Amino acid sequence: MRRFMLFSLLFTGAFMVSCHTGYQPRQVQYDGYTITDTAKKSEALTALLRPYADSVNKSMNGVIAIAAMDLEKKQPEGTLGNVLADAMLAMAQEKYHTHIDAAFVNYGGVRLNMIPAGNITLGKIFEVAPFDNAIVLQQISGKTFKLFLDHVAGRGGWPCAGVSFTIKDKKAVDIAVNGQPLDEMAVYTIANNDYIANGGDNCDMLRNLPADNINYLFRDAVIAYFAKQHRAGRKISATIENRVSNAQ
Amino acid sequence: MLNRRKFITQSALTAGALLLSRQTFAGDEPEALQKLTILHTNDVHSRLEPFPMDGSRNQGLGGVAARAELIAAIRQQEEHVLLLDAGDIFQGTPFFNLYKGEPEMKAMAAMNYDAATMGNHDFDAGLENFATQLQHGKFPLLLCNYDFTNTPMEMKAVPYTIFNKGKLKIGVTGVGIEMKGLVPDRLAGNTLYLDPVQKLNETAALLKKDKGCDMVICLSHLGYKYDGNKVSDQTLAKETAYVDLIIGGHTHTFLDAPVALKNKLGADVLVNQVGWAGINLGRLDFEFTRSKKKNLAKSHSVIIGKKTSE
Repeated sequence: MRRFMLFSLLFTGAFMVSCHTGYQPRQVQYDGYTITDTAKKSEALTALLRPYADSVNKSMNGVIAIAAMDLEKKQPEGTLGNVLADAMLAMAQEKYHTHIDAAFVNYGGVRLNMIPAGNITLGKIFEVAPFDNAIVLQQISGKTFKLFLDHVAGRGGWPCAGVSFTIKDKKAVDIAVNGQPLDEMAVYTIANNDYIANGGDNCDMLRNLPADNINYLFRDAVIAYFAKQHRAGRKISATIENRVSNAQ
Repeated sequence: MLNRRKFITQSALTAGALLLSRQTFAGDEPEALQKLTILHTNDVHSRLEPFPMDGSRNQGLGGVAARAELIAAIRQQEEHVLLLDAGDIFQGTPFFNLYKGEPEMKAMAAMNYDAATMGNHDFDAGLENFATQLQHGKFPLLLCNYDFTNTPMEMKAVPYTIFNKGKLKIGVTGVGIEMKGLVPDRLAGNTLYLDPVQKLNETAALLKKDKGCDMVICLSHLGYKYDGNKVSDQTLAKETAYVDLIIGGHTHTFLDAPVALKNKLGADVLVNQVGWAGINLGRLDFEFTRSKKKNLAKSHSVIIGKKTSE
């Protein structure tokens, strides 16, 4: 257990207007502790946790795939995000039996900063994608798609597949869908999780649009996609492909 | 301007020096000096065990067993301790997917948490589940700006609680973040979000003026700071009166030191936040002195001085 920083703040003078004459905070010393693996552990808490931990570890420690490299969460684009968006697009197309133009993973929904190179356990996927969010499909006009991409650009860029764009002044420019420029008059099928499709992360432009939902969880899609790669003898890897980039 | 700043610095230093000399005599007048140690966490996100040893940045950090041991050791040394959490207790490890928050709450009860507020992810398995699991926590859940009427949380949260620690009366309240665009409608249910600045002002004034609290602490899940106009702990600090300390959460901000801001009366408010996942435990050791009525003024200044570790 490392003890770091010890500063003091001295409160001087009095500050409250009150009929109460009691005590006033005058000085505060602060300290912070980092809880490390070498720290002494409470036996009582270890015992309390054991039955839960045994069960969690039993069901979550299985290796489902191998990462060839550190997969990192980054904005505007990162390797972890690209893999997750690819998994979402591929598995949603399979489960919905339809062509999907683009898939998105909200950046805040990716809950680990990295999947390190090496064995990927089932538990790791639960930590990356802890939410029980389903993948849903929405038909949207090119015009609404542009609004959505502007919103994504304004939030710094999200993991996506099937689409590429540049962020300029917090807006999406040079948008390409399946390699073709975005057509504002066309209709596109996009995949999001139900949290986003219902207006989460302030995606108000999607909120009132009808959505197909077969209750297929995003996490299940990632697990299935990773397991598929593993069965095919492939390790999980990704590259930065300028799906989302910042304007120079 | 320079002269004014110099004057403030000098007068503050003088006051600080007086305070230090006073400290040495504190043993002679135990009633005059009161101490309170505040320990705090936020956004623990179901991190019951340390991060796995897999080469990732946080490997080996966190875990309730080590935190509990540390807290117990501090309680041995300090007579008056408050252990507080600023929300997002739930969600983030398979423990939550499998057990919906039961071990998290039981661990907090075992560590003797004194109070907590609710974060947006504490809605994740539904309000009925949160209400059920909260029974295992055995601490008051504090929220002054959510109206839970006609939800499973009705009567399960309270706007504030008051702790008597030695001669001190400490009022603690909590504020939750706006659910719209953040918590799915089906999970928020009938919960009403009320203006946190207004509700906190009302609650803090009640605690300080009517209930005679010596200190008011707000547990906040609003977030430390935002670029736009979104209400944050900065807003809370600047636009309220009578709050002495904000223990924050939501933005997973690792503050190196508590930040001192001026409230709307010009008095200091401290804001602190310790990242997430139980990687850190925050500690604030307050010293209180008896205040005399004739000395009451609207504002005070704060000196921040750095000391080396013991």
